[in-house]
Amino acid sequence: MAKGTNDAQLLIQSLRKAYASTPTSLKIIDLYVVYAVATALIQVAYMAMVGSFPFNSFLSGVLSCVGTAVLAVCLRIQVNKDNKEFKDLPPERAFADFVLCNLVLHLVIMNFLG
Amino acid sequence: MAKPLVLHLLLLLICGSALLSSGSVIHPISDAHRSAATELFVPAADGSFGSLEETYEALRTFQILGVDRSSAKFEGTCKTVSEKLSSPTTTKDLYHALKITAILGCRTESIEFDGITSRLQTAVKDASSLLELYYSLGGLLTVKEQGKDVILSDADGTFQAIKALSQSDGRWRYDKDSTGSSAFAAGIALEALASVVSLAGSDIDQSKIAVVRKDITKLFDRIKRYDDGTLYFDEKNVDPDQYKGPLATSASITSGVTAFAAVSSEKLNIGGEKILGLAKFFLSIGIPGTAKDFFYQINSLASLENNRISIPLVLSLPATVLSLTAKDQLKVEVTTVFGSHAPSLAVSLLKVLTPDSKEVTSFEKKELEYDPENRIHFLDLSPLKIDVGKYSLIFKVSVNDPEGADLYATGDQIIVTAFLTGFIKVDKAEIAVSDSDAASESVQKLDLSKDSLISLSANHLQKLRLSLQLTTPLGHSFKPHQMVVKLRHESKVEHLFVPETSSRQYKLVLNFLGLVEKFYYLSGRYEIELAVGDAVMENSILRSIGSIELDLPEAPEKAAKPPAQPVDPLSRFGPKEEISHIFRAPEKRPPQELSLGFMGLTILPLLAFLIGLLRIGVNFKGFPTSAVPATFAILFHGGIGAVLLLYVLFWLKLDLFTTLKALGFLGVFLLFVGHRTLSYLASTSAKQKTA
Repeated sequence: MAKGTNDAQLLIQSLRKAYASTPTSLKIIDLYVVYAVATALIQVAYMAMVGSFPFNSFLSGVLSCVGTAVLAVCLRIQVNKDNKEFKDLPPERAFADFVLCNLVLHLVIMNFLG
Repeated sequence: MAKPLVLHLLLLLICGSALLSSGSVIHPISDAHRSAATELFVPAADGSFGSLEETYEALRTFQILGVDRSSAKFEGTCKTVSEKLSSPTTTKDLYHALKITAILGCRTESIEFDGITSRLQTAVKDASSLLELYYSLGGLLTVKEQGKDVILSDADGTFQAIKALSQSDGRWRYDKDSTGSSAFAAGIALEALASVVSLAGSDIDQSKIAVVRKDITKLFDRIKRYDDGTLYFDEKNVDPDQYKGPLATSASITSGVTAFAAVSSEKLNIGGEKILGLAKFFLSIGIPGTAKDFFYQINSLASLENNRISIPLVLSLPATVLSLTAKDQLKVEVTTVFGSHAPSLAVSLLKVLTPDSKEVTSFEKKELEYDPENRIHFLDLSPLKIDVGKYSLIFKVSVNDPEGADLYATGDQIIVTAFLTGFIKVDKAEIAVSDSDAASESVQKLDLSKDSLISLSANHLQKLRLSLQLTTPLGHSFKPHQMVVKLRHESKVEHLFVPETSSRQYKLVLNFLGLVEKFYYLSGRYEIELAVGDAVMENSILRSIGSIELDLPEAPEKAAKPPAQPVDPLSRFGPKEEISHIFRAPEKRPPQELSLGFMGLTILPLLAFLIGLLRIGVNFKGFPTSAVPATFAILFHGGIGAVLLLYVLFWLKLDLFTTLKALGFLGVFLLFVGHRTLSYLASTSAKQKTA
């Protein structure tokens, strides 16, 4: 048992070190994703407590968080310089796509919010 | 509910059938006619009743009935009429105007009779149609009756002219050219011929008058007859617009024939029976509904009242329902058609017939006694020992003076329907409940004269028996038109039963075993109602005699349900029962504090995000510093903020279309600005890379 926790601790340490080397922009995006997901989780916890009425509002709230998290992940993939697939895509272009998709998502969300 | 209705209906049916059968009720003209006349003929403000013809008809009716004609209104009529007489008018108007002057007794000083006479004489000479001749001759006769000297130049020729229009069947044509003849025209022609004879005096050849007498006989061959001896004339084979109807035709012929009979020295060969038949026809109309019909009726009856052939006498009964209990006398009136008194007569009751035309053998011919004060012939009924019922009484009227017998028409046998009512005794009324094997019976006597109610109880294995006897005042057994026993349940479901008759008794036996299904298996209290009714029964019974508690077995599954009872039809308009709407229960909402708490909780990750950003070491180094790119950058961020603000507004109050419109503008702007900013950033980073 002690070895297990030891191993876990070592694992976490190494992950932390590796993570420290990621560029700031990617860290910002990661933080954004964590924020979005946390908000979604809080909404789900609320729904679990009080019931799903009105269901459309719940869906809209959760999907907005999840959607924006998904878009942020896409942005991260596209902006990451280590990603060979998107070598030729300028990061500004990816960011523009991110903004546009978010705006569309939020329009739909606002309509569905009721 | 049905209580008074049943009896009334029955009485109505009986009365109606009585009227349809032999002898419609005839009454002479009475005050009812006079008041009806004043209601029907209503003069306008200037005293006229419409056209001149209508005014004449109204005034003539008033004159005959003795209605007051001295009202001030009619002075105006006199004036209008005298104006008509002086101005050139048609012969018809002249005729009516002259008649009105005569009836109202207008002052004749201002009227130029010579001019009128010459106009009328010219009209007679130039006349081409029957009506022209009629009006002009009638006018001349009226002038002569006013006391003026009137000479008819060519009496023979005029007579011939009228006679030329006659047909072989007794009818007349209206003029030489028309092909159709009518009986109505015959009446007019006869009156015109009578006027000629009165005007000419003794100048007319008697043989010509004899020929006309033969025409009248032929005309009377066409008379039509009803079963009770009423006679009338009607038209056949005339144009629809020429058809005048039986009243007008009969009236015209009556006036014509009576006028001609007055001027003919020899008596006309028409029996008194025909005159009486015509009188009956006019009287049987009762009170006519229109002014024209009223005039025809009254005018004809006036001609018949004083005609030279024979004066009709009418027998009428002031009351046709006579009560044995009240010891009513049979009263009979014999008068002329206008109700004036007849000469000394003997009225005898020949026979009394039952409704199936059998003679009441116990009755022998009796002569009625005369009460000179009230001018009524009467007969006491009690000594005759006639039982209750509906009877046809056959009378014969004969004039006491043998010479007078020719002058008056009394008719042969006069049939009148009368009802003799009486008190029906109810005997031996019993009601009993017995077991099905008839072993024991609990009999209760019913006394229907008292108000007592009986109460019984029975179950479905028992029987109910109700029996009674009905006797007439003379002791015979009586069979009423209606005898019904009704059992009514508390829930208002009713059942009707008719007792059977045998020799002298009425008996009803209800075997409840067989009736269980008919009663819809309803147990409980049933009220027993007895209805005994008849037209001649003075004490008809419709009352509840008590109640019976019935114990019936339970209804099986498939049993018929009792019929729904009728709902009071007016309850449909009353207030209805209140509707309690069931609304969708609103969802349970969480308490507000909880919701607000969680809203705060949602903000927390945002704060955590901002703090995290700071810890990572976010900076604004990449923000462009030079003016233009900086502006674009600011505008870019501003644009995004504006879009987000637009979304908030959209959620708060805007609709999708406005939002999309605004979004369109903002989007285009944002695209442009964003493109500039991002391309600038891209170029700077590319420069940094290469540099």
